[in-house]
Amino acid sequence: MLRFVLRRLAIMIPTLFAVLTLSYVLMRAAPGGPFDQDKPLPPEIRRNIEARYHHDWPMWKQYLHYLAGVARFDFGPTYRYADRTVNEVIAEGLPVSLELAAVALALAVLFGLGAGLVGAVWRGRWPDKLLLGLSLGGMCVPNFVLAPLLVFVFALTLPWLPAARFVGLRHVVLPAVALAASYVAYIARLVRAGVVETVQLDFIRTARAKGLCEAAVVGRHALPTGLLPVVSYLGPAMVGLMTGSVVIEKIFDIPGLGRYFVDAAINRDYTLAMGIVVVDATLVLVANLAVDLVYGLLDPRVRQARAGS
Amino acid sequence: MRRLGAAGGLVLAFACRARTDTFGPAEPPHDRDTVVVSNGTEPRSIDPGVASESSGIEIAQNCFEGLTAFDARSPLSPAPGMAERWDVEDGGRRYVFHLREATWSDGARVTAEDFAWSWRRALSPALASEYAYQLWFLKGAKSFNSGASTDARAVGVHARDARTLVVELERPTPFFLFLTSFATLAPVPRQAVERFGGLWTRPGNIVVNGPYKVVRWRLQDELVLERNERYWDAAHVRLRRVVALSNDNDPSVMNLYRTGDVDTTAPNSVPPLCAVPELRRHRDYSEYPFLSSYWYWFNVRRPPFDDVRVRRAFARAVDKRLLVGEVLHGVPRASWSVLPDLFGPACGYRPPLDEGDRFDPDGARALLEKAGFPGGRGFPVVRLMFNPSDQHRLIAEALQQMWKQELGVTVEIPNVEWKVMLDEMARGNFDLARSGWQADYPEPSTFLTVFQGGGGQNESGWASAEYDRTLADAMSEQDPSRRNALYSRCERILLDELPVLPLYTYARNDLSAPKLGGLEPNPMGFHLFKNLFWRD
Repeated sequence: MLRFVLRRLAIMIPTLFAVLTLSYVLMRAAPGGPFDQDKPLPPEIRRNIEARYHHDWPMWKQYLHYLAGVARFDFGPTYRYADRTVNEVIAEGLPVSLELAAVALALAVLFGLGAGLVGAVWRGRWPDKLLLGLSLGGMCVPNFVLAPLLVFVFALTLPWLPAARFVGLRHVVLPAVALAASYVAYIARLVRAGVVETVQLDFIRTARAKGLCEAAVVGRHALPTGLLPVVSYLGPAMVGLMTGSVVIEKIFDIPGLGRYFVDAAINRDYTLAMGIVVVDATLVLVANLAVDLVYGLLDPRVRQARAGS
Repeated sequence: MRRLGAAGGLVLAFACRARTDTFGPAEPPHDRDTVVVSNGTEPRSIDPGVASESSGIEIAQNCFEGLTAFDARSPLSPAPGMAERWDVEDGGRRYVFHLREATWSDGARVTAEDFAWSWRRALSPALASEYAYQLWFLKGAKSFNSGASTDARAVGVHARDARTLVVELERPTPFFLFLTSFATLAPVPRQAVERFGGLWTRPGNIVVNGPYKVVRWRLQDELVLERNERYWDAAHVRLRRVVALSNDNDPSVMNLYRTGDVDTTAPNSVPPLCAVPELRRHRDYSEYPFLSSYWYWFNVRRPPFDDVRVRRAFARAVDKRLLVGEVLHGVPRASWSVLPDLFGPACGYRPPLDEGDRFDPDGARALLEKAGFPGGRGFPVVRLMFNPSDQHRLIAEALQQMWKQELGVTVEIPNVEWKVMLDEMARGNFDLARSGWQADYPEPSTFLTVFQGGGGQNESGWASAEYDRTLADAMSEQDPSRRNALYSRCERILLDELPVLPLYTYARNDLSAPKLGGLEPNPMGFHLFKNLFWRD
């Protein structure tokens, strides 16, 4: 197991280097630059700014300078926020995105699991059909439609919750619900399919033959196996929730990483965009590793195969 | 992101259906010692020497006070600030400022040397201040800022003693006292800058000499300002706390205003255009124009807009009243002049318009025919670029239709990303491009200098020796009426040559709590928080 983890961690370094280099090349190849603006700068002022950020150096030298900084975990200054460094912006934005994603994921798992189980247990009956319909709706309604509707109902019409910002527990509710909706639907479908498939397997028939009650059959035997697809989905889901919360962050004015990333790309804030790409890439790699580890714990076949290799 | 705006607008439209006298709460839902304002995009910097966009300048102007203080009623004759009086000598080339006895928020004395040091710092190439050109009117300043000279002492600012600052200008500058109220010319605390370096503007480190001090700063969320009790005029600063939200999502700001979480969309947010007809029913909504023009650049470097007759034809074929009235709900003011018609109260300037500048479709067709394109036949397909926004697209579509209808020409309006468009413009690779200009100071030269040859800000490629000469004469002229006459000649050249097609003068539209006082509409669009108060 330890060797497996170390091997995966070792692969992460060249992967991140490739991501960083590719992002750098793509960003710099895009037309326009960080100092182009609506109100053009006088040439003398522009020269000063380019010199300050080393944009008067050859590209290869700029890249090496940037890499040297990254090696020291210093992602450099941002062009957009002159008073801040990329490290500071990430340090402020990452916990916000993590908090939002964690709450949304918890909601998605809680409601998705419940709905999936109900659907599996009452397969083909009205609760199943109702939940299937709702989950289809949840997947079809984009969050940029759901979010303003939630604001309209719960913030403007019934003034129960704040319309925007992210400064307390009450502020988390609406964005987390809007973000979680499609994930609830997806998880519900995964759980339902997983459990329905599992209850047809031989070991479930054996459990029933031993006289176990239906709750024990589903809860103790069918559910852990049926959850495997959900577990493998959770890692990408968490990363997706974090990196895909851009729209929600924009609608609710949440100072998360997704919003910074889009702004950085639009503003050609190279250093900030690349810093966030590295963070997101690291999260994806770590989440995938975590999923592989948990998968091994839940499924003995994976554990054995890994030990064999 | 555009869809977000539309979705937000939809919510607003529904929300507006509940008819009330005011769009937001009639009473502030929080204590009367606080006001929550919407400051628009997150400031790039709040360091007065570095701040470059309106949100940063707004915070800097409320935390740091210059020699003079902005006065909404008379921007060109500002109120005394750190200087309690001044003498103008040598025909307007020398200003001697006499400072009042004042302290920084850490108790240190504000001295004339603080100003001299701060101005040299703002000009130093290493700081790379975007607004350093506001100091180029000082003797030797441009040369030092561009690196041609390394002698900071040669810049025309010196402390004669602790309370006397002497400023030498390159030439008489009639709006210099406005510039001394602008953020770039405010002093910064040398003691804090040298101690904390780039971290000196953080809460806990920041030292100010103005009415408010930053006590909390959460990026992309809020800046909390508290009254600086050591400010020389603290007795007249009525509100203890100002919360400035950083929020560039206008529909969301409207929602926050609706629920009472924001007291005003000023100074830097605007309600979406689609909500305006509904908002006009409420007494907490207002509109006023400010010194900013919306225009399209013609690229005169290449056909077909290298021919002035084609440019004039395009200009005369645009029904600006229809555009503003129907497409923009009458919020901005249709403009036939390049400069906004708002300089009158400040300096007596009026744009030199004549009948030929107005909407004249017959005249437009005749001009196009003379240029070799009768009925638009043989006219090449041209491209109009604009930065992505619903409003810019609506305007472009309206003009595309007008030009098709009146001139029979085809104008394409491709969807181009903002930075791509700026890059194309910088390389001169465009036909028509949306742009505009906002005044840096309330005097015509702030617009007219844009069109100087080789200035870097003139995107059209147009240049005129006569124009440059007349403008230089105007900027050295001491007599206000002769100066205005020269400015008028400059603008007439622009209106005859048309390197730009002016469309309208921007207007601010705000929602403000009915009991919030002290928000004075003004042509610069600045707001001093120290004037804000809650009415009983």
